[in-house]
Amino acid sequence: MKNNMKQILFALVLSISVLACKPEPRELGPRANQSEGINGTWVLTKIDQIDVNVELAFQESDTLLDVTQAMLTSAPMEISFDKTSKNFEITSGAGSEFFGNTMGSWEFDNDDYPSYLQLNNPFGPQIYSLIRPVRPQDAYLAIKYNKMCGSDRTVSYHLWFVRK
Amino acid sequence: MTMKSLKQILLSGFTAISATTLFGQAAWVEPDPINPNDSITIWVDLNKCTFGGAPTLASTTDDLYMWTWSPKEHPVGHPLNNGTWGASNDALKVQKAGNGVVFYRMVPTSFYEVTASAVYTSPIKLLIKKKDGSLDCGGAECKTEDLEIKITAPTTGPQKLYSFPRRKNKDTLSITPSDVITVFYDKNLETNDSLKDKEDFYCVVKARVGMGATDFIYFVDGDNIKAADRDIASRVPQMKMKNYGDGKFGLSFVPNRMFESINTGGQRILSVQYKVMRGYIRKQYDWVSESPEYWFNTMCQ
Repeated sequence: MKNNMKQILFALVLSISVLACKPEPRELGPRANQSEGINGTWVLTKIDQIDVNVELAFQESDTLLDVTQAMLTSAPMEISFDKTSKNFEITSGAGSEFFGNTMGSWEFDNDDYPSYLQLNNPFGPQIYSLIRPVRPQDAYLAIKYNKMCGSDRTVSYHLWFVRK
Repeated sequence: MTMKSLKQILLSGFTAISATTLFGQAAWVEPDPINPNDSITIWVDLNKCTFGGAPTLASTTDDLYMWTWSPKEHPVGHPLNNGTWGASNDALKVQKAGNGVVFYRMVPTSFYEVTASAVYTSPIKLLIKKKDGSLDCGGAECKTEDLEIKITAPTTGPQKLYSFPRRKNKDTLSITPSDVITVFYDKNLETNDSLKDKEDFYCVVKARVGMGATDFIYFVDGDNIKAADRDIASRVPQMKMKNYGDGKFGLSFVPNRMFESINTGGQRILSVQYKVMRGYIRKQYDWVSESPEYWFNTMCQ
């Protein structure tokens, strides 16, 4: 009987401990508005080059290389997005060659859950994948530029901007 | 013949004609690199051949024949023997792709009855001729000069010198000269004792703007270092390689930008050739012996 009491007591203490450790449910809060997040001016600060011909990579450096020093040899370009007018404007500088035109309109493929950013200009739309979300609290805007030759992707670049 | 196959043949012909126009080769194989145990196509652009009879061959409506003797020449009586100079074997008749370009399809190991390694060590040697090669074609025999196609064995494992992005084909990149190319040197694979304990490396690059042996633009010609060029660090400081650690060094650059100041005619850069060397050349062994050349994608800008 003494042993049974000990076991019951132990089980009781254990249950209380487990329940005490259970995290309280938290609310996610309102969904971040990415149109709000991209609004403002961004400065190009980092460029990674992606080798699209690698079929078997063992480490990140097999497919991705930081080429910032080779490309940003002068004052970097800036890009501004206006959430109201949905217009963008580029201040030319190092890295401008990744963009077809210095101004036009912009849009997300999906305003609630965007996966790419589309820049429209007289030469047609240019598509840039979003590497990560761009919420109002995010310091970085990271997009991917695919360089095409016909229907073949020859190389890709990850363009990292910081909020100005 | 289906529409699809017709399209494929036309596309191959167009690709071949484009390639030869761009690169100026008289003879080449596709695919590149090849699998010696699989089907390949030998292409010859008769317009690029230099022998006196070649122009007539390029425009003739007569049948043309391949005459080949390497990696192996088949003996008389063999079904793929060349035949005689006055009467080629019909089995070696080439097909015409138009514009003076002819081709012949084969599986190298089966055609020549050799091993795959023999295909890599002994180049394919051939010429193109009329059935009777002794006929007169503009004052010369009806044949091309001897043509040679070297087949490079595929490289595997770590390499001493390599590029990022990696080559798409044997020596061709998918990028253009307006993209960044990074040349890497892995000193761990160096066999030259003079370089093993050194860290001041420069990647002395020159840019090819034509197909001739001297059609390069450069600040310093790494293949011909003159006394005035010995202080590499002062002559081309922009070509200093970054130390990535673990014995690896690299130089990232955009070829169009690198050579912009000396490419006064705005010529298109077809390839870059480079030699890795020390910052100051004191003796002959102060550089890496190899000087690779990487060709750019010239189909797009």
